[in-house]
Amino acid sequence: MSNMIISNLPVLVVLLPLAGALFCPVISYFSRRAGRLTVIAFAGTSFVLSVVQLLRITDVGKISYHFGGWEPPFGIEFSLDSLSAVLLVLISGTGFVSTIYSLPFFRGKSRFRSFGYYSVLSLLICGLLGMTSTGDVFNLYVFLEITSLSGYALIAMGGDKGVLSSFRYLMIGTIGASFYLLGIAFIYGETGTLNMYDMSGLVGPVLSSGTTMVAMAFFVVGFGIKMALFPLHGWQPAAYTNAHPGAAPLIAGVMGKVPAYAMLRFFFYVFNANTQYVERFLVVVGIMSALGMIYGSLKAIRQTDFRSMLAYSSIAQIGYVGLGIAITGYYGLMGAVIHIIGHSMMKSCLFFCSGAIRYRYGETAMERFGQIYRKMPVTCAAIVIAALSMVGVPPLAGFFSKWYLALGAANMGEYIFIFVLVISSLLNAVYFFRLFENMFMNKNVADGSKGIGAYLAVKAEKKAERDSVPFKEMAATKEGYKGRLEIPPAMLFAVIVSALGIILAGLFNAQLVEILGPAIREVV
Amino acid sequence: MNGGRSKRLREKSVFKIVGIVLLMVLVGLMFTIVDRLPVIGNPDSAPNRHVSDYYIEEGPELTHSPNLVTGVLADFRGFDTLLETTVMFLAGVSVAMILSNRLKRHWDAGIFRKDENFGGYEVKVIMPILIPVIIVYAFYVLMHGEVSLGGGFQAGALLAMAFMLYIMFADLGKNKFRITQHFTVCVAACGVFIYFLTGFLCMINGGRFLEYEALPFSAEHGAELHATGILMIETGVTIGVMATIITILEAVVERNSLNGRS
Repeated sequence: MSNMIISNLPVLVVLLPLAGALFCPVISYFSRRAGRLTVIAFAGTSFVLSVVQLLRITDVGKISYHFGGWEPPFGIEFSLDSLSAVLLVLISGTGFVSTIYSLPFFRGKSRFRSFGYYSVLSLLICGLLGMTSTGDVFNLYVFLEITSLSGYALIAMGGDKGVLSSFRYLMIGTIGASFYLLGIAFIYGETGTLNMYDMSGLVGPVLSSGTTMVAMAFFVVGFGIKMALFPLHGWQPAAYTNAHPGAAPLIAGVMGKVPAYAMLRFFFYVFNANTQYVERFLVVVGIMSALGMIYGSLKAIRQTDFRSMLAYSSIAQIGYVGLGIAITGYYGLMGAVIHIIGHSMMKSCLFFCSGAIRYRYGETAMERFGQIYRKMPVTCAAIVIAALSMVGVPPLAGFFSKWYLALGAANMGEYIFIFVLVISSLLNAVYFFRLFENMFMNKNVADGSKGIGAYLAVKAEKKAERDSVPFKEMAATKEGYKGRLEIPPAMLFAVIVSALGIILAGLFNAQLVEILGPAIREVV
Repeated sequence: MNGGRSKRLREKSVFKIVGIVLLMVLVGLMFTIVDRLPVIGNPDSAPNRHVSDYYIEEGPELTHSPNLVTGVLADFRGFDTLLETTVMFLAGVSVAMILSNRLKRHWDAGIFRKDENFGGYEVKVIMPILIPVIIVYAFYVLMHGEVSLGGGFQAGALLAMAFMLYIMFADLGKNKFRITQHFTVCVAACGVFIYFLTGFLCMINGGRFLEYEALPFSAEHGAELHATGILMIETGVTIGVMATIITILEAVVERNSLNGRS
């Protein structure tokens, strides 16, 4: 049995969440709670197995899994190196914590809502895991489809505004996926293969042909839309803001990063990034990212809603990843990968906290956060840790990615990128310290009374008004949360785990770099 | 205030023009390479030399499927098909989740029959004859799937069509189908699970995922197990697709009947 599990690790990690999604509706027929716990159990098992897989890969090196026993160019392959194994641990971990975090939102909800949400969330985890582990370009597209569809559904579950922003995302996202599919078709026409490793061997002679160039342009646009790179980010702020609060951490934290990882795979592992043809595209990616870093930060400063500030900040942060890809070289790529990992944790943590505040007080406007640290000390501590990490304060995860990016840019002589990096970090500091000011120093709230406690009294008057709104998703906030802890234990667990993750990813950064090193050194 | 709004409008129209120009550039790019794409049927083009050769020469023997397309779809790239079926299931769940805001409403075919003369006598006489034929044909498509072109997706669509026709024309006052969306989603999940289970059985028996030769059934040749495996996954696909179509239809109808009442 254990032998079976070890030899089939890659497929089990990806498909266990799928199995959870399939069991959930049937089990929910008998018990809602058991249905939710099934999904959590499967996601947890997947997380444990992904850790086992990472340990195994550090021992034996790369793993290649051939579906149906067919040899790679003919069948589908999962190819895993230490880079994808680390990301798998990250994704399944965030997914597992998200499934636990979502529990309080569905207490007392109808059977249908409960199983629908949990099935779709589980499928989102499956899609993200699959995109990371696959070694086949068309298989990547299918997983991208699963990821996008479940993303649309989870965003649409966030209420009326969610449906609208989900529809916009559906329009733009479908165009992005079509670009990627067209790109595959062109590249298949040139090389005759769909396997990534095989393609990297065959693509050399045709790299200069027009078809390949167009395919690469399409990959940049397709992945750019999916990861919300600067001029292609139109769908992103509304989608992240209005997503269902339980799924927002996973959507904002991980869903944008996996296409970025796929872009990195394409440029460095399929195409050889050191040739002049690919370098041109990397320059374009670099310019887009640098503009996005400034634009996203400036827009984030203007926001008054906590969630939309975080969403615009994500546009800036995905720029860091793009910048790392554009810088190339060992340090540039290391910076991009560490930023994918670090930023996933920070953004999930911030969205966990924003969802927790919304769960307790139904509030997302930052000016209403006055003195909130008295009521929710742990959540506020987590916000502070994540925000400091975003700014780049040394012992935390966010510092190291910026350090590597700056190092890489200096090595390559791209000093303009260092300048952009510094400016963007300063702007980060501006908007996060404004948040701190609201949380810790602001004594007044909008109506002139003191602190969030007084604000709640005013809010209770408006309760009847809000109750009449149809499609109200947040049943819990209507009643007000009454518990011994500041937020339900399931949410507190998620907040604490994600904050700890940021600290640990910072403290054990050397070990992380050591694990990632061989996979990155291979292509530079 | 007014000036600001018109300025914003002007900015928006600038964005629109920039967007259209960029779109034109991309479309133009696509047209420039149309004549560089490999010619259809050219035996020397890259797609026809590398992987396809192997599929054509070895495929029928290795997969025990006389049909090349089925061999590639269900065997060589069977994992992709599992995920495509999952996409169907996901679409069904998502549509039902987004469209329905109330529960425990059942099929209300009344909206089809607001007009008393809907269908007419000819249709009402023909349908009871036609529906069984459609179902039989669906099973034929399913069973013949590994031999000829076709299979699960089409069979599922046919079964769903038979169900729809029955709902629209049968006298529902007497024999009412009490099907909820939750139930159809469960059926779709079972369909996808049959597919998943086929792969999982191979794994438990010591093979790779979806390695049909490791299925725990007895057969004279390994190749015959391929046919069994393909039939199993096609059955799963049929059930999944059928239930998904019914789910989506039910969600849409439910939504419409709600709109009509409010």
